[in-house]
Amino acid sequence: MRNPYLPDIARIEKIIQETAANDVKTFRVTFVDDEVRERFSYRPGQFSEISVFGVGEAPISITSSPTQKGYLEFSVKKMGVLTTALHHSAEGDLIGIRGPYGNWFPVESMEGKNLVFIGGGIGLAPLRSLINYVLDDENRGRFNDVTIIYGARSPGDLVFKWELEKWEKRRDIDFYLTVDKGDAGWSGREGFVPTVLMEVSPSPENAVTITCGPPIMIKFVIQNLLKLGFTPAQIVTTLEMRMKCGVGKCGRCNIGSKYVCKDGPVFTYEELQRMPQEY
Amino acid sequence: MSAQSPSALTKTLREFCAGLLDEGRVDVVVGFGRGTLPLRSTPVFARNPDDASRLIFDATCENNLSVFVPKLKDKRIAVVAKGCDSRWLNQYILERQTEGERLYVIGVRCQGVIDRKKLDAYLGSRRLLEGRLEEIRGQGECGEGLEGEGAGGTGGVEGAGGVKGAEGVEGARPGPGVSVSDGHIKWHLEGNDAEGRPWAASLDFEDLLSDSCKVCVKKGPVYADVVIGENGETVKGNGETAKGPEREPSFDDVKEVEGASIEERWKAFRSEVSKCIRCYACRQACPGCYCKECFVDRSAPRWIGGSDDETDTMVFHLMRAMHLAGRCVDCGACVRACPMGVDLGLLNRKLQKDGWVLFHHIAGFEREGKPLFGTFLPDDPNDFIL
Amino acid sequence: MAALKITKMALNSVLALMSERWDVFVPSPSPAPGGPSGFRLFEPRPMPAPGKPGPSERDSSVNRQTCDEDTLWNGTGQGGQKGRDRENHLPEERLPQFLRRVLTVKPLKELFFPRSEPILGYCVDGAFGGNGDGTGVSVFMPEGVLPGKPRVVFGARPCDAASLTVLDRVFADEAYPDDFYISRRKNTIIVGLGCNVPAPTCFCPATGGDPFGTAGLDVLAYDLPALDGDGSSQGHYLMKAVTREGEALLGFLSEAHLGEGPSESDERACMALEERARKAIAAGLPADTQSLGRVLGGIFNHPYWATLHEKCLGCAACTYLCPTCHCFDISEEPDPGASRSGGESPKGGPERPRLTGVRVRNWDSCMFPIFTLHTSGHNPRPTGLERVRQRVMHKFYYFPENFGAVACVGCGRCVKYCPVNLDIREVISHIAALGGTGVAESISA
Repeated sequence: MRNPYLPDIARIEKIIQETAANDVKTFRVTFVDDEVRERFSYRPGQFSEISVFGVGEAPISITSSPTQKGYLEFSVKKMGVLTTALHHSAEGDLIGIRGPYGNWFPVESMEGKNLVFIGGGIGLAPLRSLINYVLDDENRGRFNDVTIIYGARSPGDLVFKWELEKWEKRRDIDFYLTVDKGDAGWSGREGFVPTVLMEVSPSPENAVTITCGPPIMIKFVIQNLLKLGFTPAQIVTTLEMRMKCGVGKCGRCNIGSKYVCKDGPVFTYEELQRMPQEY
Repeated sequence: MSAQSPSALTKTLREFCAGLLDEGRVDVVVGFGRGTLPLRSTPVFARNPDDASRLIFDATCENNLSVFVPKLKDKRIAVVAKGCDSRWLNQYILERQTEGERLYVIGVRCQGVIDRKKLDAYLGSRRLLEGRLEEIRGQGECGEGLEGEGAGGTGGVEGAGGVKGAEGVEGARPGPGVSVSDGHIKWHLEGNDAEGRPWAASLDFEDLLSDSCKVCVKKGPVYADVVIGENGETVKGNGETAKGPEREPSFDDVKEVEGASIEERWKAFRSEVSKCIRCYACRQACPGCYCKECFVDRSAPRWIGGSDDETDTMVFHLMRAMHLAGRCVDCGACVRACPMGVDLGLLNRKLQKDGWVLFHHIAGFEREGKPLFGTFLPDDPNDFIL
Repeated sequence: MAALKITKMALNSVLALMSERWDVFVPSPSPAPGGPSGFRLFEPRPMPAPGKPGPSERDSSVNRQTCDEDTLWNGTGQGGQKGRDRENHLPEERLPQFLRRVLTVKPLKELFFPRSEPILGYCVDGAFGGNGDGTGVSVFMPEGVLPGKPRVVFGARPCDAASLTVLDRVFADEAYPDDFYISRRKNTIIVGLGCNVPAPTCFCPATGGDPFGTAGLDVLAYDLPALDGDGSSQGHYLMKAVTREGEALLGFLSEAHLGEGPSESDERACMALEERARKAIAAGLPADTQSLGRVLGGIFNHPYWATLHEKCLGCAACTYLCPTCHCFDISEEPDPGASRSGGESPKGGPERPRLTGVRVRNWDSCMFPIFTLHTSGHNPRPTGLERVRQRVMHKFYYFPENFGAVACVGCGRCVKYCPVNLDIREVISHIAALGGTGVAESISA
């Protein structure tokens, strides 16, 4: 019996509070079954359906990198019923995971190129999987320059602060951290991500840019990237949609004939331009 | 559909609505047009005088058109309104879902509308290729023994009916020989049978009549800016709303069920609910179901599950009926919309009976004041309220 | 056995015999007056004792066509009882008569993709998620979901059978095969019944179908009318095998001497039925839907959609009753009484609560606003305009693009049951006309 809806059981090993408002938490989980742990292989950009039994399921992008062996990480913003239940869980609790689902960032075609990551808020979560994949010692040499522009509304809304510090220290990354509005303790950059993008002004030559964040940010980021000379094919983003099955059957996440759960969530802007404006 | 020439009512309706649109007195006329199948109509949204030529009105006009009012963005809306449609328009105003000034009510006197499921039941394996209403004049004075006889009441004075006439006959018993129920109007049906042989039949008007129409208490509009009569005459409304039903409501169907044992009622309810597929056609067809988010769709808290579980479906129907208590005008649009033949009307009718018996209230006759369950008395003898 | 002819009076015996080996499903008398509501399990009556005659050909009180329709009707829609019970308990002898009604209200898909079905069960110990040591949560297949006994469907219409070939593309894909659906497909033999006289709502030829089409069928039966002197008062079914499974079924029946091989004149009668049906249905067909995608690709932003959706009430009658619509929701159904938060045990000590429940797949509809509503409140298809457009686009543009077939079999259920007569045939023709006027090109340009 092949039951595509049957999740595997995973244990929450660690819960990290990400934001000051405590509305984003990162969950590090491991599959209870060793065999599943071996079998579950994924690529940066893919997502999983996470189950909280008695509550339901939700699609969450995998924020860990496949280079981080033995566990998965998911960063979850408290939004609806499922994510709230997940936020109420404790280390040691068991959840269900099925997947990985969807396509992934075009890692192979990014080799030898300059990579520009542009993230906003919790939108860094799917990018982080690819960033850590690229920064992994075994992979770093296959990619050229890495630029990361990351921002959030306020310092308290920045996620993965524990990792941002490491990135800031690395010499092989151009890292730009910004907030829309700082607070008393903030000595860093202030400004919207699209504005910072123009200040950094990365060259489109031999470059690919990967962006994820709130829809309004993505809109202006894309506008600015086009101004900088990036072609639509050089702009990669990842979409969110209401999903249920994760396997292209239940019918709700399509944009035109593309299913975000199966044909996405990763699309180039060139692909999006060919799709109806219905997302 | 037969190439019948339009009735006098339809002709006037088209001319009148074309005028309304031409003069810019309204932005849209919500009415009925001829449907794509025999004995079917379809809602029409006329926004220019030419569109008005598609309008019709007859006994196939089964939807309660008031349901579209809250959804429309047009500034001034004219609605072709049967008695029940006009009662929901009143109810919308009472419940502050729209303003009276926004509406232009084109009242039409209705003799009742078709229940397509009854037609299907009659047809069985026969295919219907053509259907129409035929008036057979001079055939006896009065039908005998038919349920709901004499419901028409003011049939002979159609022109003056509607707004003014209705008030004039309030509470009066209908006279004989003038209503449609006496067999003067027949459904003429033609088609072929399962072997391709042609057949034709003529059925009494009552045979295919929607159940709610059989117990209708007000066939003309309760409020109208204009009433178009059966012979095509127009009568200007007097800006008042009818004081109440034109006949004593009958709740024989409810009494019959009330007389049954609790086990029997439970069995009957289960049997009805078992047909439901939760497509929510009833909810969507009902003008009263305008909640932005229906309780069945809520995820926090989740009131009922999404499966076809019997208890969930029961809760849906009970809650739906309770939400309509004191509001349902018994237009029957929900029953007619249901593809599965669930007898939704009975729960609503029971609550309607309670409203009538306890408070002498029937929904849709007021434009001002408070809805029945929008009021309570601080000195109510029942202490459960507070 | 390639073909077998049985008398209609023998249908009950045939179905009873099949019931010994298969679960047999037949179109069900309606719970409401008006037609069969769906497919139901055939319950064979005890066979008459040897020597005692069963219902005989000569016992024509229930067999004569015209009188039968009227006796059926006289119990429906009229009077206090409304004939409900009577319709529900139609004697099986009337089955051939019922089969002549064109379609069940609920489509055949229900036997393969039910309105609701559990897709997994779970059991959770502990207040939240397990015992804290990696144990205490189990997920499992709920019992009784998959059919044990192989099944036969008798009397499905060709459009309904064709719809399964549409659903196959979704549920039996290579990437994520869905065994709930696939296992039912594999263990079901479908005996179809050709449509002698299509309904006024039928338009299967516009979707590539045919009143006697065999797609999705294992056996196609012809309803041969009674002929003078052929000794039957109701006529015959001539069953022709389409697949090997169908051949085996007919072989099984033939071994029981429940029929005979067809004659040449029977073959001619079948041809005549096919021709007559095709001729009848050809009148009033909408434009061919198979080339509609070319137009739809260019009219996403056409003003047509704004006028089209206006009368749509936003119910799911069209989608739930559509044999090809397959959208679903997955919902959590915890057992009643199970508590997530736990509680105190009666003895006062901490209780280890246990949560059990099932996860259920339910039909869902693109007509509902909540279908695409994001948790954030954003809705990519916020109004009826987007939702009606989605339904049309999905059937005639997106699905063909993804799977090479239109997701419509022309059964006409949505035409018949739409509460506001939003007739898809009209929509199809309107769209085809938009293509003809060159609008498609200008919009997409």
